[in-house]
Amino acid sequence: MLAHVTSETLFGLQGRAVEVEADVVAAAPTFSIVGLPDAAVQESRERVRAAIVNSGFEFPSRRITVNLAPADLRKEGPRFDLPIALAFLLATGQARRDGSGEVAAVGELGLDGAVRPVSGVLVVVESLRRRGVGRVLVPAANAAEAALVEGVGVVPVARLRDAVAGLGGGGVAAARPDVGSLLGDAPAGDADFADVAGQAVVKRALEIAAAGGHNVLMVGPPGAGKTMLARRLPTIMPGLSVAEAIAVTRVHSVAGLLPSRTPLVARRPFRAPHHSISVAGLVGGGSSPRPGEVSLAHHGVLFLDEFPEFRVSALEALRQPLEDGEVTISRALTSVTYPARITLVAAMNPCPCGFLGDRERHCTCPGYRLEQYRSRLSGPLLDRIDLRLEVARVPPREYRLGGRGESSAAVRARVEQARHRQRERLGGDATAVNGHMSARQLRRLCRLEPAAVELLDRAYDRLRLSARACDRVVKVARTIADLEGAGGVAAPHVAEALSYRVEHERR
Amino acid sequence: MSAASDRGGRGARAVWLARVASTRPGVVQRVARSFGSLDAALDASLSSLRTLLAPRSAGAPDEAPREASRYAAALAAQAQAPASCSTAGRLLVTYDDELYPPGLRSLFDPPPVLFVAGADPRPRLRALARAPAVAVVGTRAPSSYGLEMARLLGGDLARAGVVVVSGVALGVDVAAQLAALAAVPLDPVGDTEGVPRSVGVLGSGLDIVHPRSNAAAFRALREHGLLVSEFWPGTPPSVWRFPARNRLIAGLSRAVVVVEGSRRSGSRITAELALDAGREVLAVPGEAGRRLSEAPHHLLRHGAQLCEAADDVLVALGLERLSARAPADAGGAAPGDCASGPEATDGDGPGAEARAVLATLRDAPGTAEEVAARAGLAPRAASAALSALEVEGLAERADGGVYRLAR
Repeated sequence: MLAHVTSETLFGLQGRAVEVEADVVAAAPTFSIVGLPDAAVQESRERVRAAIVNSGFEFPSRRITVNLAPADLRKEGPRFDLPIALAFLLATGQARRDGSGEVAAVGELGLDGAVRPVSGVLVVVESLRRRGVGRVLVPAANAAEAALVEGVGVVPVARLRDAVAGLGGGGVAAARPDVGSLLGDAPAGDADFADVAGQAVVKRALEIAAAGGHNVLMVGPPGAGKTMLARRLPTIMPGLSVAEAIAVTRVHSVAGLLPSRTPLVARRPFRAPHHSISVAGLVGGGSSPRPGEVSLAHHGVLFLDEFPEFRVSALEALRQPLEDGEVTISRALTSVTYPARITLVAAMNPCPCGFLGDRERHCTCPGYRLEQYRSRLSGPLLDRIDLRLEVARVPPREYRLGGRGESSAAVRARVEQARHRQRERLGGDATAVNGHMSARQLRRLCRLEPAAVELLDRAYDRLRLSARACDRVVKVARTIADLEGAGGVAAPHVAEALSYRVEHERR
Repeated sequence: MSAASDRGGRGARAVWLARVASTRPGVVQRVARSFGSLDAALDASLSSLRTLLAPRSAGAPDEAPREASRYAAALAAQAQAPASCSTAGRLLVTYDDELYPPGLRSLFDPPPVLFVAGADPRPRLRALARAPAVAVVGTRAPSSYGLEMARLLGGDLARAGVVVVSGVALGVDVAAQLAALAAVPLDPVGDTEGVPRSVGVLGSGLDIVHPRSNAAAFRALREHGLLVSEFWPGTPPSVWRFPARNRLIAGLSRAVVVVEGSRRSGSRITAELALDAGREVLAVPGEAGRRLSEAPHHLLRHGAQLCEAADDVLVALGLERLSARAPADAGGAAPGDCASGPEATDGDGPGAEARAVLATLRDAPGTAEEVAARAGLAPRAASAALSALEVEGLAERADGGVYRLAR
């Protein structure tokens, strides 16, 4: 007898329909899976057989053929265990489908018949909705994220028997979580700006970075608190909107990093990969391209400590995401695009030993090592960085004396206002920020007052800024003016912006 | 013995002694002690010198005697040529040569010969004999403060027409020398024509570039200054040759300035050699209690003069101060002159905040953070004021984001 169950496979951040067909005929007993399955799919024969038997169903000695259509699309992973088992049970008459609409299934099976979570369920369910599939059986652990999608009945199943019941119309559809309250109730985490002693100038600069979506380079000796400060940057950025939160959740779901039973990534991500990371790890890749750290940090902060120690190839690969807000990974026959709208925070020591310019300890680096170290920073990448911050070590006295600073919430309120002003001016969506302005927008929308123009001209001569460096100063000055609520960019805004200039290229 | 061949004999013995002294420590000193002075020793016979310097242990090879006759021959040939033998930019100057720097003669153990490299070595050596020379020495691993002081002193001394002498080592030495080479001399007081702005004294043969990372400084010194060494070409650097080199630094200079160094540093040796040779010794004070302050503070405690700027050195040598000499120079960027700076620049120059920031910078350099705290300003106001001052050319930003008055 012949039966089929619909399912989905993942392709980047998209789902692709896969029909799972099972044919059971009286012939010499075999169990074969065709339709371009990978090793994990091939192995599902063993899991399916054991799960069926251990769930109290029969596994007859027949010739069983499972086909995954379309046959030219590569199928990966254990996500087809459940649909294969259901198609088999339908084909052998051990399960029955109720008449109302199509039912899709996705899930991995344990030998005991348990249904285990798989990656990318959010993406799969969204794709099913587009295809008009009314009901979907998902692993119970994935039900929370699946239920985010409106218009599809999500039936959580913990065991194969539940799935069989669900196929027959049983099971209770999971309730749609209230996304608004999920975002509102997002735990603030234990990191807060108020924890940082001293560093008033750095905190001010991070506020500007958060407000304008500017990328940051922090330079300072070991132990100055660069990591601590960077970790707190997401806490002063505006809260995620529903669309942003779902976009972030999609990436984390596909990467299999969404914690079980968590419907949503409700806080801006903070990713801090080690400097030994590969290109594929950083921007995504692999034979079936997976999202990299830069995509996992989508709408959040990507923190690269020991910036010059990263492979040159990895840093170069960051250019596209910083420019376009997404990463395209091309393979011979296909290409996959992942979102990657990030705020980059790069951190480095001032020199290899870390103490150049420090007044407590002296730098012991020979000149050529210093040259080597600095030359590892690629110019084109530094062009994407608007703010350079010197982070000095805070003397212990300030730890003792320094009261608690402003809380993250207070800073965030100002940042949100500044973002609102930018949105009005730039006229884009919620992600429109000064940091992403094009050169044209810069010319058109950043009017400088005469005194500011004069100051910038003098800075251009005296500080030997490059034209690009000037553009970055104007962007940052615009953000400073937005934080202040000022309509035009005045000289003090430019002056402050100049103090954060990135000076890798001098005329 | 005719006068000419006698003179050639002295020259040959000087060359032979230099050859021996390149491979063994303390040779010249032993000879000078034994004969009363190097001058007297050069009159002695080669065999008596050879006996004196014969290796004490039988095992050690006596490397020099055969070369002696070879160089005697070379010297005889040189006797026909003008006073010294030279090939493109290289010069060998013996003790008796008129080009031999007079400062070295006052040492107890002067080098028997001096190897000199540089474009136009002859006029430069002559000019060196006339011009005041000052050694700026210090640690190879200075703090940013020490490095800054070395640069400042090297540059300002050269601007005042003083030849900066040092050892082309990493850190203070090379920083001072590069600053001197880059300086543009002010309105020359006397005849500064052909005066090398800096002289590098090496602890190895002139053809050895050590340390490698200073290769650019070596090139610049050849081009715009001089490189000198008492060691045979090809002699590698070694531990004992650096203190030996230091006595040349002291000898060539009228004063020695020590910038930073630990208790047992080479700079302290140079300073003591300078005292022995009757030179002025100055020291740049450091922070109390720091290892790098040990050498200068030890010297200050024992009577060295305090050096905060090039003017201190110039005064010690009885020369005109730099600050007194540059009234016509544009802008008066000398640190002390900034009081009138902001108002004087132009009408809408830095405002009250900038003046407050300038006042704190006059007390001490600081990061934006520190300046904000000391001036009692909000971080953003302090940052803006600092940038404005930077654009006005009144302040500058150094390593570590430390702002200070522009120089």
